[in-house]
Amino acid sequence: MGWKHYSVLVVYFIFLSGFGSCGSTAEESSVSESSCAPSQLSSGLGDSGFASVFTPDPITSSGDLTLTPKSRNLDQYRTQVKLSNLTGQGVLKGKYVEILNGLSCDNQYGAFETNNKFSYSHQDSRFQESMVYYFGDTYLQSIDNAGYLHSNRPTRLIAHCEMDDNAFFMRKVSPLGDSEEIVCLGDSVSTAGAFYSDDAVVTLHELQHGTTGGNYSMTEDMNQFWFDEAGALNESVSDFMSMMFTDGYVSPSSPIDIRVFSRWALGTFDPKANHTRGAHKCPMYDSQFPECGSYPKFEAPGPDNGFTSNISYIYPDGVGWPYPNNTKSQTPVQEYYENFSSQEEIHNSGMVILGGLWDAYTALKNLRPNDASSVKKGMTQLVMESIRHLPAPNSTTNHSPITFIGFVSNIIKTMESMPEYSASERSAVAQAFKARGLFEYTPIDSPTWMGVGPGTNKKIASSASPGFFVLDDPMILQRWLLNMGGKPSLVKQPPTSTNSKLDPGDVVAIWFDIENTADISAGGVLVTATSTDPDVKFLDAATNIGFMSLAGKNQVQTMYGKINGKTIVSAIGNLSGGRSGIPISNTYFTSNPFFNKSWRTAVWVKVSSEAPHGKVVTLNVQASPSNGVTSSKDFSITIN
Amino acid sequence: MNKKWFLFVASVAGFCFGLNRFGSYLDSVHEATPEEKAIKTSQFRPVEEKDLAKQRLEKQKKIGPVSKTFEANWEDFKKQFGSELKPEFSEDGKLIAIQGSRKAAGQTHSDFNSKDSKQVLSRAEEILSASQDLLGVKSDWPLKNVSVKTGPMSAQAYFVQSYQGLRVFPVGSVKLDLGKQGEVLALNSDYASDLKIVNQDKLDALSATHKAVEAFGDSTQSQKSKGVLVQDASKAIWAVDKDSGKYAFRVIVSGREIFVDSETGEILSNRDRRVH
Repeated sequence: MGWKHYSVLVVYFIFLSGFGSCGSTAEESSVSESSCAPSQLSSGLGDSGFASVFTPDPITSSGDLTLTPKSRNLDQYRTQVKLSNLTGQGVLKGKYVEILNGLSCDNQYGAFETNNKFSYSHQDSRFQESMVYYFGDTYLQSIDNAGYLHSNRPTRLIAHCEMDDNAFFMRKVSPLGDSEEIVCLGDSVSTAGAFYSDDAVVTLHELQHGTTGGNYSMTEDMNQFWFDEAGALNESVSDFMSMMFTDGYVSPSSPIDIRVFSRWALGTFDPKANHTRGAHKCPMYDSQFPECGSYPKFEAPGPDNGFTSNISYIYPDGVGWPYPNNTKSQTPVQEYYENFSSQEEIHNSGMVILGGLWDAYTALKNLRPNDASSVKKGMTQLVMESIRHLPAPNSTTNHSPITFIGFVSNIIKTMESMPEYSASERSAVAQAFKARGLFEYTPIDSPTWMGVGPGTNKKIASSASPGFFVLDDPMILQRWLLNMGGKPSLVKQPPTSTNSKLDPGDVVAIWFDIENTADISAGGVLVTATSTDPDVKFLDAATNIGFMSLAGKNQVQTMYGKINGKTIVSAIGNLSGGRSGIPISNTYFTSNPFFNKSWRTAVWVKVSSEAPHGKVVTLNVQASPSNGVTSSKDFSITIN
Repeated sequence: MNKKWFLFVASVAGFCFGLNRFGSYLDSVHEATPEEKAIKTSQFRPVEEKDLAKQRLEKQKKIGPVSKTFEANWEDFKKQFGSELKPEFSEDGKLIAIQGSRKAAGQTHSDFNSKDSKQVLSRAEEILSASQDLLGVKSDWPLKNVSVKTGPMSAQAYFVQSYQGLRVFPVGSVKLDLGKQGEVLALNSDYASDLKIVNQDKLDALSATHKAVEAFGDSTQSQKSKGVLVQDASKAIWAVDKDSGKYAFRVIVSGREIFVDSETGEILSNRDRRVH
């Protein structure tokens, strides 16, 4: 080979090594993977740059519903975008967010580019940093433009952070009100190469927790109990705002359904199950999903109705039904009632309000078809302003005053004071929420609606203490207290004394089997339990999250998500005439048969060691549903 | 004898009659308390509200008449800030909440700017000053402003209860919600007016932090964590119940808010504050 041939070969190898290699763009960084930013940063590098990101996730970018994290060459689905608001220090730090790398750089700056070109292959851990910067920055800028940015300090987002298969938001507020906010975006351990930062709606969901919480209060958390409507609202607002923000990436002709939340992370990272959520009027196992033509009907499948399943996301009967379809059963309604244990979990129980918000947004879009940006801005202002007016908790009468219905009421009132909305727009939004059972609903109006249930369900054949479930197994209780952050040493009874009864000296978790004698289901039921008997006392706030410290009595609160009314029981309960149904009834224990699988709706009680055997103790229970009047009943239990 | 006895009985009867008439006169000039008015108008309200109003009145009678100052305070407050304001009181007569509206009839300022944080704070402090007796605010447990939110449609001000400069947890927050003309939209109070310190402040910050990290380690059974992020311990007051407060340290350990008793090192509370 002559020298000419060798020079061609040299040029060819240079070409392969770094310039214009297949699949990369000319913008791609040439810095090696997994490097971290220097401790001495640059300055004056300009406030704009570029990145290559998924918009907002690989499935949406590609329009290919079959994509998974194991798919090859996800890089081809990246889009080049402009970065703004950079501080000009060569790292992904800006006016609204700063991005750190938890995996490679020990929670310090990872990506460092003096030319502000932060384009990386998906295989490079800095790709996730640039994804997070782009969406975090543009999102918070939109919140700022709407007038609801709650903090002057940039939020710190950690890509590849300490969390496995999850993400979280955390706010550290000093006693004097200074706050520092952190978002942690974890990596999947279920699926290698799957990163929560790759799904922009996850980043937006977590960031929105900061905006929601910051607009609600700088001194109180929205979530007051382990499970309450406040917590579910917090989650649903995050889902909604991220879905609304990313609406527009999908063309009308695309097969992608924009009403699905997190089709990438929640939809594909767990190879065993789909965990997506959605704003549809029915879950995925409804026979008429996705258009939910039978809404607002409820019907259990059976041979007599051609195995038709209808579950409607209407308040309150739709609360608690899971959204994704993870079963091949012909009778999914029965299947989920008998096996789905997360009915009251706050990420699951907010589908009705998520749907209501989406319907309101869609109604406004339909009335302003050529003005998408003003609809989004207006909806942001409406939601955030409504959050600002949500009531704060107190330890005297109401530890968790936020309800879906109260929030919707705020939205309607706020709209009335916003002149930019026309009468037809106000009416359309009101109608959207009314159709979801959240506005102008029929309330439970009898103050005697509450009864004492038997304390049984399909999993609890008989009750040792009718009207109650008493969990006194010390092994379970100690483990729960450990996970709660409580003191396992409080539980001293031996395992041999486990009998589901109150024995002298016991520390137990209890639930009240509240019966609903009304036709309408009770939603968001605030349960206030009071003991005037010194032999049975509710433990204080160190154990009971709803302990009423300032009530001046031994009193505790918790919230039950839903207690069925007679109408829904007739619709899908144990049906007569050979029809299939599900074993629900109009009690709390049969509304959620998994109520006692965790501590989250329990109240904790200590029985005095000197309590006399056979003594009957009366606990007063008040139940205040968000959709009705308070009812009060005494629940009596005998000391064993 | 009979005549004297008759005169005696007649004079006693006359005295009683006069007393009765005088009592009726007093009733006619006595201004009915809010509870008494509630009973009188309650026939049009649901049974449950009427019973509660009656119970409140009976309890009030047991503990003695409500001080005129308290009633006068609420009337003065309403005159100043809106006659349609609806209060919620605790059983011992402390103001817990006020519900107002954007159409408040009371004092508003057409030149109030809800986007100006100084004006918002000034207005909030004016309202708090007028309501501090109703809230039961004590001079050695004052309310401190920690945050103000402004906006074109409304503004909010947040206050926290403090003692010797230390913030009270988990109670003690007061939130004021103002409309764009400074009208009272809502007030929510979790102020604890009967707190007394029941422990001593002995622990140092480092020891408290160690206690908190130990408690954190115990409570992470279900969650993996690659590192422990600790925020410096800050002093606080922990309200154990209505009457008892303790000197404590507040430590944030990887998202968990942990309170440590400043005398014994006991963990008073350990909560995960992360939101997923």
